[in-house]
This record gives sequence, C-alpha cells and structure tokens, in this order.
Amino acid sequence: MKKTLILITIASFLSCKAQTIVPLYGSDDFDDNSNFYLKDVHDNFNKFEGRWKYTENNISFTLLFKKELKVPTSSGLFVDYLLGEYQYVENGVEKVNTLNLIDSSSIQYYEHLITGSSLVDKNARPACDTCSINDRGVRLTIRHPDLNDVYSEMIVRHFTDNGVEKIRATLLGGGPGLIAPDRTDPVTIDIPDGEYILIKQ
Amino acid sequence: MMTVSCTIANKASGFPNDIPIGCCGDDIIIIEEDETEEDQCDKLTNLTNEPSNVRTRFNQLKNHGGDYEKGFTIDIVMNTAKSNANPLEGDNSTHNVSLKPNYLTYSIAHNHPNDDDFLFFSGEDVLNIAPLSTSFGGPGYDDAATYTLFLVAAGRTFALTFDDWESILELRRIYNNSEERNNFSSRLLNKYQKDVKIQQGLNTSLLKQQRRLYDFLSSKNINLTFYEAKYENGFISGWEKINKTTLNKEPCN
Repeated sequence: MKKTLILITIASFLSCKAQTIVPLYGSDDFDDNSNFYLKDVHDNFNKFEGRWKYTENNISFTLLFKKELKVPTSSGLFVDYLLGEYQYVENGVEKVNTLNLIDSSSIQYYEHLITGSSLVDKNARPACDTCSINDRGVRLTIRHPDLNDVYSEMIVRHFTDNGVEKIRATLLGGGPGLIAPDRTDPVTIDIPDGEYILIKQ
Repeated sequence: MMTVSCTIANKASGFPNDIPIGCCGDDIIIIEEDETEEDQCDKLTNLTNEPSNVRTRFNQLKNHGGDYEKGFTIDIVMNTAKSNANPLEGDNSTHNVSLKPNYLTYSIAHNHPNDDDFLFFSGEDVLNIAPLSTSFGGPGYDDAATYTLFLVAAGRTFALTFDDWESILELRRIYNNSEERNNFSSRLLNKYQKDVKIQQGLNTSLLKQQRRLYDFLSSKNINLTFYEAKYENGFISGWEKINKTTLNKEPCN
C-alpha cells in the first residue's frame, strides 16, 4: 500500500507541468496549448465591467460587460476574456437586447455577443491622444444576435470626465469580409459604425 | 457517348487552371503538373501585366489615400486565359471593406490604411481564403495554387499564396468553428503586439509582422508563401518571393 502511494505521488509529480502566465498585452511568446495562460495581469478589464449607456439622436445603446478569468479554450490555452451583451434601440424600436444573457450558464464564452481578449495601447487605431502611456483599451468583436459571421470590430477605451466614468466605443465594421452574391441575410449589425460615448450606470 | 471539349490553359498564363469546368469521364485525361515557385511567380507577373485590368486596379488601390479600406475581386474570364479585376469597393461609411466574390472569383485584394494596427495581413484577412475557396467554381478550384490574397499596406503590395491544399482545409476548419475563428485573429494580434513596447519606444513593423505571421501559421500547420510586387512608374512590373527564413526578397527567376 505504501509503495502504491509513493508511486502515485511520483506519477503525479511527473504529470504536473508548470503553467506559464503570459501577459495579454506585450506578451512573451506563447504556444497555443494548456501550458500557457494569457492573463490580464494588470486588471485592465476591471474598469470596463458593468453597465454603460449611450442615449442620443433617438438611439439608445447599452453595453454590459463582465470579466471572465482563465477560460479554457479549445486549443487548451487559458485566456482571460472581457465578455458582454448589448441592447440597441433606434427610434423607439428595440432591435437587439441580450442583456439578460450576461450571466447565462447555458452559453459558452464565445457565444456572448461581445467577446475580446486583446488589449490595445494609446497608439492603436483609433489613436487616443488624451490617453496615458499605460492606458489600455480593449479590442472586441460585437456580433449580430442571429448571424455569427456578421460582426463589427469595437475598440473601447475608459476615461473619466468631470468625475463621471465613461467609455468611448468605436465601431469599425467587420465581417463578413466576403459576401456571397446570393446572400439575403444582413451583412452588418444594426449599430452604425462610428464613435459612441457611454456613461457608467 | 457525349464528349466534353476541354482546354488546358497554359500554367504560365496567369490563369488558375488544372481541371476545367465540365471535364469529367473516362475519356478525359487530366495532365497534372508540379507547381513550382517559378510558376507562382510567373502567374503573379502575368496576372498583373497588361492586357489584364488587374494592373490598373492595383494602381488605383495603391493610390487610395483614405483612412478606410478599399478592395477588389479578381475573376477568371471563362473559356479564356484571362482575368478580370472588378471595380474597387469600399467607402468611408465603414473602416473595413467587405468584398462580393462570385463563383468565378479566385483572388481578392484590399488595402490597410496607414493608421491600421495590422501593417501586414490580419487574421480575418487570412481566413478569407475559406469562403473564397469554397465559393470558387472555376478550373483549379481544388488547387491551393489557384488562390491568392493581395494586400496593399504602407505603400507596398504583397501577395499571399498557400503551399498545399491541406493548409486551405485547415483554414476552412478554423473558419467554420465559431470559437477557433474568433480566437484566431486575437492570438495573431497577441503575437504582433509582442514587438510593441510603448514605454521603450519600440513598435511593431511590417517585417516583424511578416515573421510573426509565418511563425503563427506554421505552428498551426498552415504553409504559405509571401511575395512582394516591384513597381515601375506606379504600376506593378513584377514580383519577388520573400524568403521564409531571412525575409529577404529574392528574384523569382
């Protein structure tokens, strides 16, 4: 019995591999496997968590974000993600509202309508002249609720304006990069490209 | 017995051939040739030479100075050895251009504006090979050498070709998997950002991104080759292959 225990202990040690933590931004090299964890080491995602709202020009646009830590991906790599859902109302017509799915346990991380695990610095498009050298925005994908290939790139940057927390969300357009000639589905999300200033709720 | 008339176009013509549409049956002999690097170079050079309008489109794309993307598609002209480049698409209503290929489209080209984070190809750019190779129904539809992605960035013009069909199949697999598709571009961006050290004033560069893209795709068993266009008087005059190890440009012949 004692021998068996010793053997199990040795086997456990041998099967253990140290996991390398790699910062999400300015990362050291990593391979796409379970030996690596792409981590938001400076907690840059934290300031984006919560509910944010834009109301202007008969448009109401609400973003709801949460940070999810050490998400196992299909390649084995572990990654920190900023995940989100959104509501978009135009001229009183609610076009999208998935806010209630933010904590749903029935969807995978990549099924949230907003996902991102890339941090960007002040020089990344769209450049941020007022950002400090250590400020990090997040590069996200915001998707159509029904069409997986329809999305827009969205860069969010956090700032404080007279003591009020705000984010600047810039939509740059996106997929599908190639549109089939017989396609009848929409090719863009409902929210027009451009810059939106949202206030913390 | 019905016979099918097949014309095997010259590989050096720039026409993506091998298996003409409608060619099947016991009485058809398909002549297979090994695709060599010189063939790809010749193809690119012939494609961007007159009388094709591809050369003109590249000139227009290179001269597009807006802060948004433009691009165009290149179709084969059926039953000829010619290609046709469609007019440039893209306007300032959106930063990223979406192109509309048809079943004769075998190559696409677009530009990255100067303020773009991606000086070289992005993950989304590379993944476009999946829908492109799926929708193309012309000759050589199952030959990796048929497809080329072009990019105009930082005033230079690049071509990306795939070395084998397995690489295209792997990209299709990633494209069709929601999770992997989303992560593909993010992980490549992580790799590109490794060269950015803003506190130290270090930034990424086109050359560094070429290295990152080669290594990133190699790790996924996706094999490709880059080429860069040579220009004379604003028009493409030929192509040079980019060495995978040194990233130096090498003459095609």
